[in-house]
Amino acid sequence: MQNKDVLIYVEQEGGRVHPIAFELLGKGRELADKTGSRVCCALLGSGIYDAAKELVAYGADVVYVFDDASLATFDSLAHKQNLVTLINEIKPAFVLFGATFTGKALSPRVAATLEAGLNSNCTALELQSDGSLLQARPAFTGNFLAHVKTKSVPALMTVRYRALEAGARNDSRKGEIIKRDVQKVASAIKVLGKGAAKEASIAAADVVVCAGRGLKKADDFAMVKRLADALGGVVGATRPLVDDGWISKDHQVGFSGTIVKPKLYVGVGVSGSPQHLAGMRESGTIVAINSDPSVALFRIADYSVVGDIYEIVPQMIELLKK
Amino acid sequence: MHIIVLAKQVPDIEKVKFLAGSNRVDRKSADAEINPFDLNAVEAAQQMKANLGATVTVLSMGPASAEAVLREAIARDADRGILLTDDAFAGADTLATAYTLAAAIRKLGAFDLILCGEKTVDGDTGQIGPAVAERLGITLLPFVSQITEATADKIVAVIETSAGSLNVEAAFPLLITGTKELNTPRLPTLKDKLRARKAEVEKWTAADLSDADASKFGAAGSPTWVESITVPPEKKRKGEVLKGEGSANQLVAALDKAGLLKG
Amino acid sequence: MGKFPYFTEEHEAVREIARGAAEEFKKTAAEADKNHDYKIVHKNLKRLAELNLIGIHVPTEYGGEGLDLVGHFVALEEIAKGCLSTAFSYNTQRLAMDAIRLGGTDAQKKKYLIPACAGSIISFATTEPEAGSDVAAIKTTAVKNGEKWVINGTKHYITNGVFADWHVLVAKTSPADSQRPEFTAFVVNGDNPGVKISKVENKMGATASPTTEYFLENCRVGDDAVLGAVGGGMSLALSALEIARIGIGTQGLGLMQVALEQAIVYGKERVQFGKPILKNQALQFHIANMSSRVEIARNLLFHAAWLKDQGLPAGKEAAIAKLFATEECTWVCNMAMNILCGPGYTTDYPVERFFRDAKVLEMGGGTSEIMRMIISREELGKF
Repeated sequence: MQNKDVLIYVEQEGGRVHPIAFELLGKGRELADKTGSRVCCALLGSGIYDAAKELVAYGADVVYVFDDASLATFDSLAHKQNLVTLINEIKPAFVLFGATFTGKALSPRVAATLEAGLNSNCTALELQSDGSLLQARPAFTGNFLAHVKTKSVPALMTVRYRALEAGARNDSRKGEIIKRDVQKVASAIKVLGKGAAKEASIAAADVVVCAGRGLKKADDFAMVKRLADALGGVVGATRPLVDDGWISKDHQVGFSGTIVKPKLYVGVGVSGSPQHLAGMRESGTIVAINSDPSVALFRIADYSVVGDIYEIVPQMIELLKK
Repeated sequence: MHIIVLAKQVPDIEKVKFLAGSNRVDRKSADAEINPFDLNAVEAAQQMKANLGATVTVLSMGPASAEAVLREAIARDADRGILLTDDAFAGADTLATAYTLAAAIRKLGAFDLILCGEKTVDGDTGQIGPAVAERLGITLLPFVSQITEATADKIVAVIETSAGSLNVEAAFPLLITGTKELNTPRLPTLKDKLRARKAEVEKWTAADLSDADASKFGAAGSPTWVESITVPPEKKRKGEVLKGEGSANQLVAALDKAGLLKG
Repeated sequence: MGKFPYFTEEHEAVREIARGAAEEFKKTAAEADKNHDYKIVHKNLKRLAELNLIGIHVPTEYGGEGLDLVGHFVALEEIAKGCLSTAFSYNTQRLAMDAIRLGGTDAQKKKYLIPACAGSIISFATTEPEAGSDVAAIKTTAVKNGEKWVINGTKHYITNGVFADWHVLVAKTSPADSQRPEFTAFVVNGDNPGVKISKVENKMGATASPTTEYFLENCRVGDDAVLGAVGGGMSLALSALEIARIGIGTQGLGLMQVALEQAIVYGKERVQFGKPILKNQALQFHIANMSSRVEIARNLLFHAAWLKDQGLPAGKEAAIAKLFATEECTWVCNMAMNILCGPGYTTDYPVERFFRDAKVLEMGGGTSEIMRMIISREELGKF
């Protein structure tokens, strides 16, 4: 008899569990409680045994721990082999991954091996009366929402970070922690070291932090860059700053510069001239920070912060460090 | 050296509409183009061919109109363009698509490198590259943002991972999925573009993949399907104004809740 | 843009490549204009050659792509949207090549057109201080002295003169006292010691397209430099100019579109009296008027180009198309300036450059008055 168990692949880095795992556990717990089944976690890495208890506290009934030096650095083949063996043994109905670099490299390999259906970047999972999961995922670069279903068992999904809610943490919750034998798979990829983060072009960046005339001098771009780094984004500038030679034209955001549509745009001391607005108004989320609340950019912003950029930006950098 | 590039034809994302009340794209609503991420893969192949000498085969699965994508690649020095087109391939989800592409690649014989884009701008799944690598049993290098060095038997590259950018090295055969940062695709010359218009594009049907299991092609081989498509409501700006002492705090919390901060 | 009967898939391929080139040129257009920097235009012409866009309509045996004038003007329209200075020089390059294509021997076509398609620059000179619209008032003389022709005179307002590898020029070859003056076209090497580049003009617009004055001082050339028949220079020049006229108009078509685009983008964002200014019907009607002119110009210009490609007479159509497209381009740029107002008057926006660039299009390739002369003569016949 096919169970309705949920298996969650838990991503971790240096023993620290990626918080998306707790969101997947939140949904897993909800599904398992409705269907009377179990929520299991697969935790792979090296020196990660202690993290298993945290997963139980967030709702896992069972945590399968694969702890071995050979798993210290993520390798999609090694993780796939171990995960597939587990899935074939416990035969869950659903397998959830985070839609992260790791999840996106790993899940299709698992799906292809199992010849199972995989849907990516899900933002919602709704249990149907027939026990299947209706999955919602953006398509066409977010212009449409597709509602998809899967008939294979298991059904695999990768889920967007922050799309689901983590449940409450309860350290007195009970769960099983099982150590698994690790299949050692030699990685074909030799890691040479940390790579220099290649700066994304402003057209392709997910996050753009754009400075405007509120910036008092060219040197202050260092502060803007620190905020951009903290947000995982790139630095942009309005036309006057480029014309004054404070930064190169590659960074110019606007109709005469580059039109940008990042997931997050932060205007730092930007008033919002018409040609600038035309260059960024399709951004996913618009944040404006300015001491003058009457600026045009505030009219199209999701979040307008009225304040001194030289106070707000350093505060944000500090908060983001945590 | 033999390089295979996987490319897909996609509609112009900004303009495309769906046929009223259905899950199918209204092909008249927007022009079709080569998936922008695949254009980066084509450029990477072009560079490697110039530096190392290689034959480049471009492969695409789609309707007859997808021939245009292969011509784009031929205009950019691809030696051979093959379109997998057959009603039997239609309705394929990523599992069936990757299965079909892998079957075609096996038929192509020996290769050193497969290049494809990180994802398509219509499907947005990012699954094809890793799934094809799995089917073929070759090394997967996903999210490559830079090919630092390519020789006759290996690649040194920068990959993007959850742990940041890493410098890595891997031997052929291997499959690379490239990010938008991989390179800046060049403009073809008019001569190359006109030559590509007249070039031969091979068309393969299900019958040409006789070694494969036909029940794994198309809709028949697809365990996932789209029930319905909805248009998200027109985005209204929140217009939240934050002032005073805790405004930086409130802003960071709001961005975190919206999933906009680095994980 | 709607579908046109004249545009084939090959034309769409041309448009795609030309659009890519225009995007590149757009990045340096403001700088080139501000500094009157013709080196940028020269670089852009070389880039056009690299992309095989110089000889679109030139037969393949002479280095071109063997397409047609419609194909060339499709490219020219796109380039004008990116950098009008470059487009102006690009059109003149083609004009000079047309003179050779229409009047040259097979040997001359091979000698000049193959390198021209690959990026060698050729200028074209009828204009002199005393001969603008009145082309027959040319004073530059070419006198046969033994085996050589000796050319003396001044040519001015010659586009691309300063960096040309060759100069096509029209000189008077009839004796000074003759009743009916005769003219002959010549191709002169840029490094001929008798050619002295004098200056490049400072202009109001199209500033990076070098408008050159040069002197001919006992400039000696052989018979092989004669282009077309001796005495046939004027009709050769006028044939080439008829095509160039469509090219001038096509630049107007390109420029109109980018001016309209600026007006729309700005007008949707600029808020006055509580709403974007384009919510006002009066301004919406301006947009409609501008848009109409773009459509009309496009139809006239490509029809005229198509007629020429068919080998059909197109004198009236070319003149009407040029007259309309260029006068209306000035009108559209002026209207765009009205919509952008103060900000548009500053260099923060490219509209002031479009406004300045537009005016030369009413002058080059035959003035608006000359166009009206041509059109009325066609209508009235012998009268």
